[in-house]
Amino acid sequence: MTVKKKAISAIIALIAVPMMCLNVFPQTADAPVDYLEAVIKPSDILLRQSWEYMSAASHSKNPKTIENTRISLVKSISDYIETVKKMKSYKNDDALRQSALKYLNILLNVTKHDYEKIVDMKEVSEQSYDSFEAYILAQKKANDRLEESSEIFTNAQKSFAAKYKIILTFTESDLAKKIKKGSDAIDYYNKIHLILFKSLKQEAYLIEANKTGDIGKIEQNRKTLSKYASDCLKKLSQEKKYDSDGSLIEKCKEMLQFYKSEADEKTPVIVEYVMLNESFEKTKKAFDLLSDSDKTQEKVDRFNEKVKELNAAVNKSNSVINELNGKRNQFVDDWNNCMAEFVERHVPN
Amino acid sequence: MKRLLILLSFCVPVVFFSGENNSVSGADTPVALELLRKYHFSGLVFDSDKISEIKRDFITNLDDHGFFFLKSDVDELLSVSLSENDLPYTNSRNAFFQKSIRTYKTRLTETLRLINELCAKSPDYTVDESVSKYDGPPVYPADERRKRLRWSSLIKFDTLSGVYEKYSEDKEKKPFKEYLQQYEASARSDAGKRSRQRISSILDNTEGFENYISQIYVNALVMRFDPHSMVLSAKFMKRFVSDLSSQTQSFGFAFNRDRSGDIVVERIIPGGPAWKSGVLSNGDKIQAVSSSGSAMIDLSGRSFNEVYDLINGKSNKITVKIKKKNGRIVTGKLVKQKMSGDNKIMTSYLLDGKKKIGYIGLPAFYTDWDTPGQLGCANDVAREIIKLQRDKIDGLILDLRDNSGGSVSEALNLAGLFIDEGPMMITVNKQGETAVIKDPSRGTVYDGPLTVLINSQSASASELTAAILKDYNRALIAGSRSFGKASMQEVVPVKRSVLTNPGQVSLKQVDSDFLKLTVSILYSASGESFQKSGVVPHVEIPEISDPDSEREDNQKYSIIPPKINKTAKIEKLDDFNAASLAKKSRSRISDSARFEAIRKINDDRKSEAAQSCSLNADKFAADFKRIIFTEGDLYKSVFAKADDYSAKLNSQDTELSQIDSYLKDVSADKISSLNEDAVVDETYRITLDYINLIK
Repeated sequence: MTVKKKAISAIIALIAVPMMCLNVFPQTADAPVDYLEAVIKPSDILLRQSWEYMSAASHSKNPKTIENTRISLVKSISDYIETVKKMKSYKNDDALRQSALKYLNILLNVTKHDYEKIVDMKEVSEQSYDSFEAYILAQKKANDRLEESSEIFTNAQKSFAAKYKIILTFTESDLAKKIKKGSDAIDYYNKIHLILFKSLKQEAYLIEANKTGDIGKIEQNRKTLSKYASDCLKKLSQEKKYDSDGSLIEKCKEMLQFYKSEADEKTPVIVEYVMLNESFEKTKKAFDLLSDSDKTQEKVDRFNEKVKELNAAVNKSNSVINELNGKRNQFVDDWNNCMAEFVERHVPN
Repeated sequence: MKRLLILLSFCVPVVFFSGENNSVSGADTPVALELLRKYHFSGLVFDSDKISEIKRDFITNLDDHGFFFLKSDVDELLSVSLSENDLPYTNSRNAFFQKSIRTYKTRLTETLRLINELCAKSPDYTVDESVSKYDGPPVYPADERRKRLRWSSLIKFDTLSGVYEKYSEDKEKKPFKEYLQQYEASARSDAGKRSRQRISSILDNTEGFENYISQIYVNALVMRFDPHSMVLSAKFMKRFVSDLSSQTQSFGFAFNRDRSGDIVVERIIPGGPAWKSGVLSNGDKIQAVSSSGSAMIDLSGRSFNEVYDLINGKSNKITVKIKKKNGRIVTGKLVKQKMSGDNKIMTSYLLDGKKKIGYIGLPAFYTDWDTPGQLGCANDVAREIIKLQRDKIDGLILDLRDNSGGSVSEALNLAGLFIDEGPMMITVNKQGETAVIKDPSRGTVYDGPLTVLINSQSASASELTAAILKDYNRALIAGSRSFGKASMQEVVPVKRSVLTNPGQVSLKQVDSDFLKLTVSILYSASGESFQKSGVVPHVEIPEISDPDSEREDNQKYSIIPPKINKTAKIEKLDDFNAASLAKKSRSRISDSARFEAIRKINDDRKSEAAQSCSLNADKFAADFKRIIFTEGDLYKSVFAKADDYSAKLNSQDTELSQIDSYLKDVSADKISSLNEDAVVDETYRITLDYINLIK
């Protein structure tokens, strides 16, 4: 049972694609305009394909369709890069072309999830607790770089236009508006998902520790889950509904409350069983070593008492484990459905 | 008084390295050298200076107190040229090795004759001569006459020591001279026998004389680059693995011979008979052994095979006489058992006084090396902490004294029980590449007041734990400055394939010799290393210490940690005023009769008087008593009952001990030692102050 996640990373990348239609009004019919147009024109295709990808990722049930749209987008970016590469500088002025190449290369790597080509993964790994945190941090750093390079590219266009007396105006197309609306919804979803994700991942560590029976790790992960669930509930209480839609907040809260109870009430029952079991094993070993004459009634009674205690703890622990497994499956299902419905409702089709 | 400089280590009957059958017959030295060049931290360069040092070290290892070679032999051997290309002993152009072997054999054979001559008649015990302690580089006798004098003093000393044993055992306490008269002849004969045995175990080594010498030669090459790298023969590794296997009946410990020839405990299996008995610790020296009630057999001068058979022979019960690291001589009984997989062997105690302080002692960082996924000591400590928490402790003492280390990953797991999350250490390899190693698991098991106790023999993984907790301001560190070993070793088979494919190697696949080599140095998150310097405690507590005990910073060729520019950001807990705790403790210690006795014992051991011993029969007994540190009234005053607390087993195990009589016995012994331990007593008080300070 896993929590599904939409193709969030690629969609975040779209935010940085210049989403305005660029209209170039030449004051004179001179070559600089053609040059500028040649550099920025292919971005129209990118915008369209980005939308197709966003739409597929949000509404399609078929993973193959989603992947195909992503591959098309990757190909278009690669083609765009090749086109710009083949161009020459304009009268030894290469700033525009270089900023375009830099931006497009970062965009390509983000879309391909090749973060190591953009950020220092060793540094990221040192700053993160595990590979998941490293992935999220790398994604964030990569997107920061993308936004930064996008801004540099836009400014380079403006400088070029000013230098060669070209008038640039930006108008927002219908497609750009749709992408903006979709991005906002996905942004919101990502924010809520990140709040949940920390506890969700932490619970996975707790389940893993329970499997190994490592009492230290069970305790460490249990306490951490309790802390994270409390912190995240507090964070969640500060979030507002999205366009009057409070479904994500509600479902996220239910899940966090489940984690809190798992950490504070349910897992201690399992810990109690592990401790009693260890104590029982030792007692049994010592009891078996006693000679018949050493097995006094008092010792036999004590041993039987231990057996009774252990049986009670086993039953209690098993029932807690079953309860947790059942509830966990239900909550995860509910969350996945809630998320799919939210995207369906808010990302334009 | 005629004062003769004798190159002799007191207390240890063995004065030179004798035959451990740790042969490297299968080792291909060129491969070993290539492995060293490729993986050793220091990056091996055999320049002419280093080759000269290796030659000298080799000669020293053959004769480290100047009992065989003459000065002229050594000068001549050192003058034989040796180039880097000819270094392997298998190389026919290595004239140095060939000549050394020939000279050594001749001198050993001559020495055997000399011993026979000297032991043939009783020497004069009225002459005022003495032997002195000397730990410096060997000084070789200039001629045969001086060599003879040296041996004559040694045999005299050894004979008198043998007589002293009879003297000390007899309750009548007649004058020493009377015992000398009665036992001199037999003691002299024993002394001669021991010395001849030492030499025979080299000359008639079962692995062959040349193989044995080649082992010493290879280790001189390897150990030139740091004291923790060495060659381990296939035979040794087989024994090591078998001794520690869970399938055979054993006493549950492995031992080896150190450079001065002593039999040293190398590893104790958690939960095994040696561990449970509490008699042995890593680094203890086994001096004598007796099986099934027979007389004690002195291990000095015996070959490693003989020692191995004496300890691991048919008998299921042995008594061992050992020298602890603090110099105390104790005896203890061990019974063989089939090793079980039961690793839940730790118990914890409560020091119940004004406050309830938990106490957990950890003698080694164990983990099951051969079974990945098995839980190690950190899990056992966590379990004990939970038991202690149920007893509502106000603070916790984690005792890492004499813990010589073990699994580094268990050290990280252990420190992680007390730290939420974050970087724990930085490792640096040969290429200067750094890696930040983080807390393996988020969250804590215990976040109350914690005191970690260390001493000069807390090494490696135990120092690392203390360093991490100190870095984070997470624990108060008490005791004495730790050993100072921050290097990490890997054990690899001496095989050409390892050069191209250095994968994980199971210690069970013992079909070649092994190389233990230092591959990286540990640094704290702040970029400082405790290599050589050790971890300095916040609060210093004196303890009885052996003036001869080693530390990393007094070991030859110990690696100097290079400065690094790397740091890792950690979220420290609030600073606390450790200086005020240290001040209070100092004032208590200066008023304490127990610590006054400890200071006096340590002073006596370091005193000039403890450095030499007269061979005049009138003075010998008094001098000898002083140099072997007999436990007298001073010791008694150190081990007094603590006033501030009373130690007891945690509640869960107290219940268990009503059925488990073994646990009852073991815990009763531990409780009485906790009640009498001056250092634990002071740590309890420091912990109370610490609790008041941070509350």
